[in-house]
Amino acid sequence: MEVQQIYESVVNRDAPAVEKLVQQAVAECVSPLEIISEYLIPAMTEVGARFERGEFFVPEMITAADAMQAGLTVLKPLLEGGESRTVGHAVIGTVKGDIHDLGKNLVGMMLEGAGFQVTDLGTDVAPEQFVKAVQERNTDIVGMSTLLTTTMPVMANTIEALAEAGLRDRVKVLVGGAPVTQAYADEIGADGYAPDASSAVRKAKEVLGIE
Amino acid sequence: MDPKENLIRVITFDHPDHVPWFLSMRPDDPDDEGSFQRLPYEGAFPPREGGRDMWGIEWQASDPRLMLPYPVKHPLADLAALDDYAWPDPDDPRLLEPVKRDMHPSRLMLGTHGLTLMERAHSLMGMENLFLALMTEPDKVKLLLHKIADFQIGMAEHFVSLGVDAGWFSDDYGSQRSLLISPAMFREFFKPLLAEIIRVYKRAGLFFFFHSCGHVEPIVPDLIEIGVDVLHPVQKHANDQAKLKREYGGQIVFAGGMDTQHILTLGTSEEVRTEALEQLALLGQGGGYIAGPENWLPFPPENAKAFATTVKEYGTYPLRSDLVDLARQGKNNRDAAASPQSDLP
Repeated sequence: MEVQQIYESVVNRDAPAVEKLVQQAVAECVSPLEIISEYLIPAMTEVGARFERGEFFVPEMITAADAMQAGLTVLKPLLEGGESRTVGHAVIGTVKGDIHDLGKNLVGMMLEGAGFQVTDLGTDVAPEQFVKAVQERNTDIVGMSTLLTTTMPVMANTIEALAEAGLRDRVKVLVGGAPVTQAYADEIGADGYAPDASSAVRKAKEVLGIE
Repeated sequence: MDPKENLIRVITFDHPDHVPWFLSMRPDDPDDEGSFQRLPYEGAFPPREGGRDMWGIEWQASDPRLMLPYPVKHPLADLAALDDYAWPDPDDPRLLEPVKRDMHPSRLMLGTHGLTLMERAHSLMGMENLFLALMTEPDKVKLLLHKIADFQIGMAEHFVSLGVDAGWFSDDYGSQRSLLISPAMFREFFKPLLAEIIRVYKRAGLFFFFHSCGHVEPIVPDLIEIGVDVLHPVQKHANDQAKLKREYGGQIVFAGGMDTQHILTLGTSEEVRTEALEQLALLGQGGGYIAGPENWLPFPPENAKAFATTVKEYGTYPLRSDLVDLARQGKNNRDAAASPQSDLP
């Protein structure tokens, strides 16, 4: 089989094909880490690029993420204990007072697609919940989302809460959502802003100084 | 001129007297001109107090100042349940009781379908379940959408019999930067059914108002084609308003357009005045505009007043040719007031 077909099947959002091809690749002794880093992750990068270009929309993103997960499900048990494919750990959530989650969920999918481990705190997340999540495990990125102008201030409150807990310097804070702008991100001292899920991944890597 | 008559002249591009305006669209809102009223049937929108509605969806009440409650249980999360799902009956007379109670011919009466097709589908299924099923179970989704459309057609027929002047859909197809689904998917799954429901109003010679949040530019020609007269709310930072006015301004009326994400909510009343002048200039020239906020958020009362006052003062046709200059003057005055004093020798 052509291992390249794994890449194409993710971009074509064919989860059963991805599962079968990944199983075949494993049987042909292609290493799990190679499958992830050379085929699955680059495929999700291409999916993100198509989203940014306006060729893919939400259904395509969700089915692409599902297709990648179909491959990861085969590979997870095969990854040795010491092997890590994680490029970083992100804690994400929609801030307190807001229950919209589609954008946040897409960011989570794309971060996982890029090799991040993601802890999704859900919606209506208070500042102290973000703080607790960062205290509980090694965290590189805190990502906050909101759709509503009226809940944007909670992003600033969360950054303050991280600072009060002595955690601000340990993480990079990214913000996004419909009313959020680069100017607002700068005003509240966030480390970055991204307008969509795909560019959020690039921004996360940029602020962490990784390729 | 009577506000309702003026509104009709705006919709028909027939020499309106002034730019109509709205705020909350509630009849008791003193800053709303009150030229139209939305008349939702019982169960069209989620119950503000939360609880289970007639569709079997369970809702959690949200901050009452904000828009709508949010769904916490979806009866059709799995489309396998579709065959056994008990659909509400459009002929149930109780559904029209609030409409009959509230309708008044002094305003343009809009038979209001609330969550219509896309929104009704994802409130029943869950948003991500719907988006996934559009790709993985298209035939079942089409069946679901047909069933929803059948119900909405039934309600449209009742609205027309009751004597409304127009219909209203609340159906979000856009996000801040793009459509949620591709134009092709919109045209395959949603457009034909929306057209069928709208046809009930058009056959009766009535108008049609279509609400979709977010970026809708790619499907504006489709909406014009299926008979939409008024597009709401034409969000400022999600659409190129100038382009929409230029390309479609003579074919469809734009309602809304005023920046709510930032200015109406967080700005000063002077900034609101400037925004209103700019939007009158951009969207109001030549008619085809109903001024209002681009969404419902709690804004300070002084901002609501500043918006209504400005539209009342400057919205009479023919519009002044110096509205942009007036807006700029306001900005310059604010900048000058905010500048640090120079050190005098």
